Amino acid sequence: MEEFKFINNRVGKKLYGVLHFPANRESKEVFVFSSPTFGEKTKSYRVLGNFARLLALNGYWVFRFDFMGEGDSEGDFKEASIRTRIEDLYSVIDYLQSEIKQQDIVYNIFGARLGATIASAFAREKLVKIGKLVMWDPVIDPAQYLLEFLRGNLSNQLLIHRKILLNREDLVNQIKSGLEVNVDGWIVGKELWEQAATMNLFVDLERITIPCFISLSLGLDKKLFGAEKNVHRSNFTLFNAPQEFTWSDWKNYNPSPEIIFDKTLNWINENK
Amino acid sequence: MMEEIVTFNNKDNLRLVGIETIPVAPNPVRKGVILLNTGVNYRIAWHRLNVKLAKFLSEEGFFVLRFDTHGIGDSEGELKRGNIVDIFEAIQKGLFVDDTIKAIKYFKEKEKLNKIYLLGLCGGALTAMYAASKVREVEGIIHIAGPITLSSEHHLENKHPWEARNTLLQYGHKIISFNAWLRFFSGASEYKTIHTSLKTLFGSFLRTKRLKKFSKFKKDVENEQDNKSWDNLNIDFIESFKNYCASGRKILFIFADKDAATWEFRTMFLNTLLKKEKYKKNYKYSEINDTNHIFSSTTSQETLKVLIKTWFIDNA
Repeated sequence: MEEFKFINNRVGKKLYGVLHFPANRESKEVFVFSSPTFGEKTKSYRVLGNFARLLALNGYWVFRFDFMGEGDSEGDFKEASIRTRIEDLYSVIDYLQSEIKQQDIVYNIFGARLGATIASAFAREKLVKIGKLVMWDPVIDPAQYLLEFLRGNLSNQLLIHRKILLNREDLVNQIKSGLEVNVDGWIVGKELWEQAATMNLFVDLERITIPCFISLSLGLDKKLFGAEKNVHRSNFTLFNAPQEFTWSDWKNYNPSPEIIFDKTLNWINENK
Repeated sequence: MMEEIVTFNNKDNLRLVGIETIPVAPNPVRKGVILLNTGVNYRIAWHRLNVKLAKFLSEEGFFVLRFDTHGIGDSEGELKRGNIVDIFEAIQKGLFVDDTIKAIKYFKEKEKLNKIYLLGLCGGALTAMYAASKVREVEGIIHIAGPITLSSEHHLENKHPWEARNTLLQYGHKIISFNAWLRFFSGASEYKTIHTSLKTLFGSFLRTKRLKKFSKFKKDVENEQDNKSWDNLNIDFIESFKNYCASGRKILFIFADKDAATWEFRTMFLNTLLKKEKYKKNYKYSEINDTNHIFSSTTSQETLKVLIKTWFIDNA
């Protein structure tokens, strides 16, 4: 069973969310979903929704929601930054504390792509006690991720003008000087850019001592993780996932990728 | 402006989820617009375009509903996993029509609407046409960048003639560049892209000649049998369009100038069937310059709003 609702975040903006109920309402484990951004959010929306349903069927509460400025939540995309997203996670915990009236609730965070990196930054702050952290293809270096994302603007320039008028460096300078840059309809601003530049997943993970499951389906990330000693500690489980679905295009439509669903669920159940 | 989460069931009793935007100052006639999802994108559409359009339309006094069809977003049901082309083709043939008809009836009754319009982007534009041709409650359609051909594996795997032309024009710009020639002779150019583009354009040239010959004898695409000669043309859409127009209702076509779908629409529909006098009173065609299929630029989104607003005023 699921309930659709708008909740208020800490600055009074409405966030759209879906609360998935477990059959046993006495359950004490909750998963908060931290979604990807840009087109990756749209393309994985159904997959994450189905995973939330699977978790609820297996006895977990789940709350998945749209960050401010994304999906059906209030605000413009350009207003949202890394910090506003982290603050939204706190707002969701506030809401869940009042909604699930039980003692000793364990809050777990599930994140995908940039949402996973944001989840790790949130967990690292340790202001809320987190039980477990589950990540699917976290973005290792958000600054590099945004830099690559600018490709959409370059392609559009080629389409419209048949040549590049502003190269990647020009676009970065524009953003840094406070001008907005449009990439496939998403407006990237200074705040998001600068905050992303200060993030690094491996640095965050170094400080995380809770059980952590990381599923990797992207080739380059697998290599980077392989070389990173900090993620080979006992609290980390790395899963070498096949590409059952893609974040950036539809090609093979698979709204319920079985392998990653099973592996993740098994790990969660084993780490109750 | 207020937003409300709504749910209603489709004919298979699957729960569909949507967001209704309620205007602060509703138009006294009580008009509503339903925004239809694009392909397998959920109700927000590309870069939240439907969210922006819903806000704009509600400020203009319209009640707005954007909802997820079955198997999409938060709605119940599941589309068959597999090749996306099969799903696109199913949508282009009317997979979401029954859900849309349910949405029309639900929305009309809930808000006591006197006039209801459908607005669809890409595949949603086709859904709008099919649904409106079946139910008289729809007052008008805003069709944005809907494809006139059906998706197929062959078409997705091969370069589109419009894209090939675009690629070659990009290379044309480099013809006087010394560095570009240096790259070409040093093996750094993308020969495969150039070769595929040239091959596609040559094939397209031969095909156009064939189409011209076909047009010369058949005049237009009125005859269904003959329509089949047009490679991958969506006959169901054309039939629905004819039915819809026969009822005297209006349609606004909006396309982006930098879009392969526009090129096809112009060639196979605008310059053929839509030339007929009897359809001229039914439709208005607008093209937005310097923008792509998803209307990513802010300017194009603003133009889109102006065109929609003007059309509503003209057809009040």
